[in-house]
Amino acid sequence: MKKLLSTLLISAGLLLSAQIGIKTESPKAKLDVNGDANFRNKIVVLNTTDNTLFQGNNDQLLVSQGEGFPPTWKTLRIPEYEPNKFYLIFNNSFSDKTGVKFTNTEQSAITSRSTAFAKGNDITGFSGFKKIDGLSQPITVFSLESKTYFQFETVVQATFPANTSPDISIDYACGIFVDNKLVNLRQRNLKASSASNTFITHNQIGVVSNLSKGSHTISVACSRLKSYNTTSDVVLAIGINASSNINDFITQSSLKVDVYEVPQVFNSITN
Amino acid sequence: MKKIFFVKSLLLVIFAHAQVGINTSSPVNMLDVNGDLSVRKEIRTGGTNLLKGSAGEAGTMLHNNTDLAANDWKSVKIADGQGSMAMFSMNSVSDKTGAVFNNGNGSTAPYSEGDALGSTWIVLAGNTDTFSITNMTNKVVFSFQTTAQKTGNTTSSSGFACGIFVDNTLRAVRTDVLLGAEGTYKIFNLNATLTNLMPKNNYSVKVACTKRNLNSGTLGVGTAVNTTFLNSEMSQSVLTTSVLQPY
Repeated sequence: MKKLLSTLLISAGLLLSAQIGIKTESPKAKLDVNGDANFRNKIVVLNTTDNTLFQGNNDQLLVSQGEGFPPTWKTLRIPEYEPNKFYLIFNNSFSDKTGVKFTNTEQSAITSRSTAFAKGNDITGFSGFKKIDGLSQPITVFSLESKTYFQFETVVQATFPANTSPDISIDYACGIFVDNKLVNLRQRNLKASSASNTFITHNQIGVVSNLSKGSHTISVACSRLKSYNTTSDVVLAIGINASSNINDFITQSSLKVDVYEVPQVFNSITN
Repeated sequence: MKKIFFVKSLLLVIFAHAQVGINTSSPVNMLDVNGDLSVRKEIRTGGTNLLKGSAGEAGTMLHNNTDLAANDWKSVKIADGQGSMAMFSMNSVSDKTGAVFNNGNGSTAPYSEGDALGSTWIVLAGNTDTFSITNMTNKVVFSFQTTAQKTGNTTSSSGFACGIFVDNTLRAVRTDVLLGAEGTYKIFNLNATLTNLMPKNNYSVKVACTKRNLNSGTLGVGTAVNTTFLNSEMSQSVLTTSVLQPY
């Protein structure tokens, strides 16, 4: 059995079509409550797309649709953080077409690689290494518990002639540095092939855990380590072409950085 | 039906068992406001004859939990640092069709950014995808991997290139060479980053490959051409496209 407030209000001398005020004589909405309002049950709003009344699906929030429209129930599209789980917080990716080149005399003086290429070593000890300019970039870590993942790819080329016996080749290395400290290094040998000006694609994946909170500078530096049976005019190029059979577009470098964190500080999503 | 209805100063107290309509003669809820609703103080949820409803902590949002009879208030937080550059979209597509090249050598000239997807390139049918950009600041990261194999040219080399075409325009490419005996195969990788593409719906992305010096043999990219050493499962290609944007 339904009973209308409007009939009550008519009996109280108010108009049916008028706006109704609770504790106010000049309501500014169809129902204007000058005070708090309590809802012991669900709030239901009109869904204007299909003209149905909707009390929201589970876990939805009431969102304003602006002047003249009923608010609507919406699902929040951000993760529900669970404790002790890693989430992708920072991610970015960088590219470079300038690369680095090494002549026959620009060779690393490092003799004991296992000592020199230890994690945490400062770049000042990496004799003969050159940074790839466009890949020196800032990253930010927001938690004490994190994993920073690097994926680096470039092309390495040398102005070799066609291979002879014994083999013509060059040892080279690329290191990923955080704040000029080594976190990951790969070395490889580029060997001449039956064609001149041999090139290879260099792939490198590295991970470092628990960088300190705040800003860090990442960089990639490479070096020519040792040459075997090369003539004095052989140039090694990393992230750039050494010969015109390829170009700097083909040899461009890419460095992707993802930081996974167990979030420790949370911010409100509203302002 | 029992009604108590009294006006005291400006305070109106209504006690009704019936449904009440404002600007409607056929209410469908306990209180049905056919129009806007203005609340000058806090909105409360839940509550009983003895207990006040909850107005929620400051900053919480009106929330629906289907396990509760009344609405509640939810605190929503986001991890520090999230959103500066965030994964906006990501998709992976794979292909087992691949591309087969023969009939002699192709061009060995380098490729340039912006080259059109011409007839010398063969698109890997399954490695096509679309992505959208909605922010002026963005990064698009491509990660492609396939397996190439050569046959029929004894120990001669086979050169090839695979590139990423965005809207049929070359945006990244790597070249590679297969060296070795009959059936030699190798993994080919292409990782590239594009910066600040113009916002647009549905960019198309395709991977296409082309032959360079084949030295008369047959070359398969993303497909097996000598099944003694390789099958289509092992040689398949994968393209992952990630779009990063701030939000």
